[in-house]
Amino acid sequence: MENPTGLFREEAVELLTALEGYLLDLEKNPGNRELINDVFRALHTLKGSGAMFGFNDLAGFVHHIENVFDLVRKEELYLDRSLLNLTLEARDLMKFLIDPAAEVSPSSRRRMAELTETFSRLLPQKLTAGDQPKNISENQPVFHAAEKISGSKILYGISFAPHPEFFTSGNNPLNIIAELKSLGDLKVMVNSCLVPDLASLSPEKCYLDWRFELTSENDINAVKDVFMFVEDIADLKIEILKELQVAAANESAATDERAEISDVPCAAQAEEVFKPSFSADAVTDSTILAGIKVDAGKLEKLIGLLGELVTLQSRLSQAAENRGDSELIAISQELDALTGELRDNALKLSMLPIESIFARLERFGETESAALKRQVRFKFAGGDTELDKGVLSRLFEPLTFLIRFCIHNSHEDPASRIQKQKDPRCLISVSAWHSSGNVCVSVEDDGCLSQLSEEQGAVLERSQRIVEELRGSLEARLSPGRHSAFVIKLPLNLAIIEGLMISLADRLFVFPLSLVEECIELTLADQARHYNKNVVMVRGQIVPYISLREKFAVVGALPEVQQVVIINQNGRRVGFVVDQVVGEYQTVIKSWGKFCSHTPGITGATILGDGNIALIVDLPVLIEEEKNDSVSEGHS
Amino acid sequence: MTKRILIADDSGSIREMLAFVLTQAGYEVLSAQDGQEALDKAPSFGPHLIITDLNMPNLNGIELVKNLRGMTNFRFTPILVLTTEGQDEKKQAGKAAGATGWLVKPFKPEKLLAVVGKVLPN
Repeated sequence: MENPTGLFREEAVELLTALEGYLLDLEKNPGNRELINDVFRALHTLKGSGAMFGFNDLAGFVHHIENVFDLVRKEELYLDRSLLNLTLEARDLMKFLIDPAAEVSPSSRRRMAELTETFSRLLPQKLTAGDQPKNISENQPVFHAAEKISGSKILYGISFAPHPEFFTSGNNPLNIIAELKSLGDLKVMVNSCLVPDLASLSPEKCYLDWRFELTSENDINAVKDVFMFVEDIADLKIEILKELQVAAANESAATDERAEISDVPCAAQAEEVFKPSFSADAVTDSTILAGIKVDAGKLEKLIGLLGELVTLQSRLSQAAENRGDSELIAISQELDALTGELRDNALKLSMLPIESIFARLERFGETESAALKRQVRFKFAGGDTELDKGVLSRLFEPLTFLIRFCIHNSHEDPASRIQKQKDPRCLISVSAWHSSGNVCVSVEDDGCLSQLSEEQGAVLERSQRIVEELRGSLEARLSPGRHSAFVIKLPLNLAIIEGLMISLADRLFVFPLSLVEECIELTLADQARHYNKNVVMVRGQIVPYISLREKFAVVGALPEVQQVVIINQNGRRVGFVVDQVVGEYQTVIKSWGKFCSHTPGITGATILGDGNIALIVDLPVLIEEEKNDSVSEGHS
Repeated sequence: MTKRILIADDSGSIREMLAFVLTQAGYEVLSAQDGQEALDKAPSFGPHLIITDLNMPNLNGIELVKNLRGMTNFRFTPILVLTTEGQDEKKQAGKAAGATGWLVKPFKPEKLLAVVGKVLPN
């Protein structure tokens, strides 16, 4: 900027000259309204610009005079000759305050103070009290943003319901959302229940309201400032839901590099519970309290109850949505978050590291190999991989089958092993690892597979069935003359999964969300473009799809636009055509009963919020079925 | 796309400061000395934001806001009014006329940009 102070000074000199002119004219035309307005405006600009360019003395001096002229302008005060003279005198003194070279004499200073006193006495009490112009002031929008609370974060719950006429103020809810987002992690939930039919919708009105959950380091003033311009044109509620604290730096930094954010209430609670029992009982061996044994039945009961709670919660959200009651929606959303957390924690309770069965497996293997007089050694890896206790206990049996299979069928005598530069003892390795929502357990040997006996085949089939009952899959890599490998893939938990709900005609189904990659639209034109070959192009890649309507023989009017849910199975993308994608859904799996336990393509059922039943689709089986169908079609 | 801002203020130094700071920040700025001039210039300039002082000769800020809101093109355009300390009623009058928000004088360049960014995000 080309010296703004200089620019202001030039302008101020002009203003003062003009001001003198107006005042002298007023002597001749007392009470001339236009002149009075001119005087007020000149004073107003002198004060405002003065303060902005650092002429605080000037701004302070002009302040009361401006207020007096505001009263004159509103005809609440009469501009008599003596007031006019005082103003002229004040104007002359102002000259000193804009001249950098001028040393303001003590007598002038004194006179200024007297004049300030005189002018302020003309003002009503409320205008003078605490009404000094501040320097760069507080009453500004947006400027709390820098105030961060060090080391802690706050979870804010914000309800924001703009009035219908919101847009005519020139404000935009999207700007507000963007600004909130700049403050931290933002979860946005929109309520569109009040949007009317197109016929009665006015595009200039705002029908939406929002619920935000903001996790931010900023204090509540920074959050309030975001809404500064819209307070009177929206219903707004900002509350602090939770204060999250980064684990005390001095302790955690030294001992634990993973300085995680922990919940203050929880941490406090944990201390309450555990600390006294350590000290009061003077237990020296601290490992005694590191864990407690809980009866498996109690855990099962807890998980069962939790399943009911999750179902009830879904019902509540649905009812709240239908009702469009934003208060109820807010409560339901908070409860939803809490239920989710409770579920995750409770499910962890029943998880055990697979290590806990490794020792038993080794013992089994040793007994088995000793009986056959075969030298075998074992290697275990991934022992800290956690699995649901129920799954784990049922997994033991198929694992023993597989180990036995390796001992029996991959035998080579030590001499030929040595010839192949291998350890004379056959190595059987058991490993476990997590893979995208699944747990994988592999059993592998380094021997040489002999021909399979029928009996062995039957044992393998039995293993396969057990794994499938656990909603998992068993993959075997067996070829005579080579070493053998098995991979068991299991879902993390049996009782509750994240699902994607879809609809076919008026029926609802659930896909396991862990398999779903993306959803795209499919129109009749799209289908025709690919000659009804049941493929879609997704970003240049050809993805084949299966029509779920065909698979399940569902009839009824086809929607104009169908959806393809693309799933990823072992790196291969396959689409499933459905009528509509309803949304994500926490699915509590209900056992399917004996009556239809062997329905291919369906793994179970779940009860929806409104009491209806949705079937859980077994996508891998459907893909397998389709593969076989098309192979046999190809042969015929 | 460069965002256009129209400023209306009868004080040359304020205009100068606003124009300088906003131009530096990458906005395209057009100045007007009073409300009437701003009203005349607005249709052809097509501003995305209007910043106006309240006390101006010919047509004051409140009247300018009312006039702009009456024009189809500016029904929803953000408008900031410049007020001074202790002018709460002015602020209210501005809002009642249809102003989007306000900026209290005196202000520093970074405050100006923060408030502009609030109503006119990139």
